[in-house]
Amino acid sequence: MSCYHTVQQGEHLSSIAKDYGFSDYRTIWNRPENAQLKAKRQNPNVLYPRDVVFIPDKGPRIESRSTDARHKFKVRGTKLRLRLVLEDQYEKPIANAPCLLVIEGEFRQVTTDGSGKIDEEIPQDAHEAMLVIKDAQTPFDFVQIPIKIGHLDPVEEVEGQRGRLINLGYLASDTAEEATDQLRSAIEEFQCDQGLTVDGICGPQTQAKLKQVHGC
Amino acid sequence: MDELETGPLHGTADGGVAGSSVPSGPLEIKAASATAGEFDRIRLPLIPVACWRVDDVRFEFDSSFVVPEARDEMRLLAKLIDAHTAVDSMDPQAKRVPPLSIFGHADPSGQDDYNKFLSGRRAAAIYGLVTRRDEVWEDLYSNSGQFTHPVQGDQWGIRSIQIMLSDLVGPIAIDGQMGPQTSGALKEFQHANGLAADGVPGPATRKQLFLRYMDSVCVDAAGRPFRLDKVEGFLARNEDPKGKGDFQGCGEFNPLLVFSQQDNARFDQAEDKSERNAANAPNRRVTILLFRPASRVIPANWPCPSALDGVAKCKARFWSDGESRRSLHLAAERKFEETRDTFACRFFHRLAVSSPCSQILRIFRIRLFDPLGKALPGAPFLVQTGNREVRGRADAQGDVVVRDVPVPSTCLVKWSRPDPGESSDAPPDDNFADLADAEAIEAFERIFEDNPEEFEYEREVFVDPAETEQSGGKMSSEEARRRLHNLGYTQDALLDAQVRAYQRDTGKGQTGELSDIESDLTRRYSSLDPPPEFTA
Repeated sequence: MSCYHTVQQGEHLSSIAKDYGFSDYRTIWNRPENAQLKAKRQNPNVLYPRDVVFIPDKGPRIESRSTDARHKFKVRGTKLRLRLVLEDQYEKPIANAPCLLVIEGEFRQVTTDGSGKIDEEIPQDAHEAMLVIKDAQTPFDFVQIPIKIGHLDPVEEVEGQRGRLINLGYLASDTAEEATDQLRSAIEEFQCDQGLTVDGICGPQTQAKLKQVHGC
Repeated sequence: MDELETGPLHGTADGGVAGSSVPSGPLEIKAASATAGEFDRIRLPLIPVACWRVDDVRFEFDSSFVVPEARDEMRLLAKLIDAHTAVDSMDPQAKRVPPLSIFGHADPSGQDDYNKFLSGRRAAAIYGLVTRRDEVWEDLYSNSGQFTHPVQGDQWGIRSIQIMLSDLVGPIAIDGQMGPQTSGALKEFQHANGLAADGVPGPATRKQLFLRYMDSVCVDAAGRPFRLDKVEGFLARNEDPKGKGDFQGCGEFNPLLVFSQQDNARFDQAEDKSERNAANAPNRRVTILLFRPASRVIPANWPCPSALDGVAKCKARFWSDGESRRSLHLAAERKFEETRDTFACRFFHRLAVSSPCSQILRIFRIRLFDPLGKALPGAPFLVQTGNREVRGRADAQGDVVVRDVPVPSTCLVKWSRPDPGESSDAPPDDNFADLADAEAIEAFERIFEDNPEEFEYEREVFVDPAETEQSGGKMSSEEARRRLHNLGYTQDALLDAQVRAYQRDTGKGQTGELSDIESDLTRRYSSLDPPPEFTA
């Protein structure tokens, strides 16, 4: 039976697809019923809570093969990855740095490449990760960076703006009492660094720049 | 007095504070997973780990010259750097210090440019002191404009020479006039340091004077001189010849305290500006921020202009409402630690917002008495405020001075009568004059029984009994109860009984009316005069 799914915080299309038994999120994403959502969000990994996704029927798939032979069927799916680019505050990559990446309790030793990038395949339903940089040449030696996978909201939403500004190092702390002022300070600092008009308002131009600099 | 290191505050001295920031790393990253070529860029911020501040009193009036008493704060700085130095367990020699950047601040009177330059000069003076770069001090002395911008009024002159000689050779008159006493002391200094003893403070003599004086002032807790490497010790690693990123003046843009409109109008009208000047003292300060080891910045990308530059680059970093933040547009007085809205520069705001040095240092005084109302000079005491504990001996007046950043509502005081042989040894209180605006509290103890603890007396005293709003200038009964409590008339009793007991002890008619003793209480509370003896 087809149905509609309301997105919860932390969900992305791959995890939703897995929950409904689809190996490839594109089976859902490319349905005409989801065209409007696709146009609005563009990125299937960045949905917003209360977005509604159409889940199609899971009908049987018919493939014709001869009966007197053994056939291999390969499940076509898309791999889900965690791809981070690590930099310091002046855009210098944290290159060739050994790191410990813990994904859903699984420990991995990884090393950033020359541009500070980590690119790891992760389970479709991974949500929690922790990154620990282990490089005394950086100021971030043994700093633990908690990561919530799939929790980044669209840039049009305040939470998505805050998330990207945190990722880019513009929010120093997250205390509720000062949250509004801090967010404004972060927006203004970002605007100042990017040569945009400094007004503390994250309008379409600032949003576009934020998305571009952050990478998604 | 020795202070325990507990909590984020490492220590306070008369002219500054040192403390660690609330441990903060990067916040939780919210990442999008990737199915195509997209990525999440994670830019890790500069992470301040600690701060240090030296206040206005450690500089000559309106000058960038550092006075010898700054030694107390330098001790705190040495401790703080030590506490944040990373030691490699494999290689104990490979220590990694927390690099720092120095920020001078001026008060909001005067022009922006002038204040930017003056605060830059004070930052440079501290920079020169901790690095032993005598050429920076020579620049400040001779106004050569190499590291700092000359400002009218900030002339080190003969006064600075006299202060240094007094510290190094022995006390001489500090009058700013070159006379026989000064040239005599100079000759003595020159002779001792292998210089031609001509009694004239020329460049070669100044260089030696600066370096010796820096070694005398910039000392660690054990009294040993310490210095910071101009490369390893600083955020921009001396890559910029003008010190951009290593030291700078914030001018008047980041005050800790903004006057109320009413106070400001009063200060404006007053002929004598000394009241405004005194009220502005917390704003005149030099702050050092320490960052995680291995932190560094590229001077060209550092937002703050050097000490030589004007205010334009500062203003580019202002909040969009920065001008109104630092202005007197609100009726009420604002303190950064309470309202978080007095800094015009959002860059400094972000760096300093969680720093314990963004709070104003308060000083309050407690005078200790025995049950008969006799002050107890040299009395051993212990004061607990929050999680800090200070032990020591009362001064020659029986006074205990407590310095702290937050003002507690109450503090626990324990004290004893000094041993008969010891009371006369109590050191005189040199700082008495500095404490003109300090609050004075008188603590009496009427309970006269043997205390099983090491102290004879113990009392929880109210630090600011008048904190509740007064109605029409009349003392509230709550305030009266608190004041009487501090004087030893316990709060358990009814106010009426407290008043009667006070009147009985002071030989007044026992009316039990608060109004009869109100002026007495206020006077005793704020006056530094000894109280009348009790007629016990």
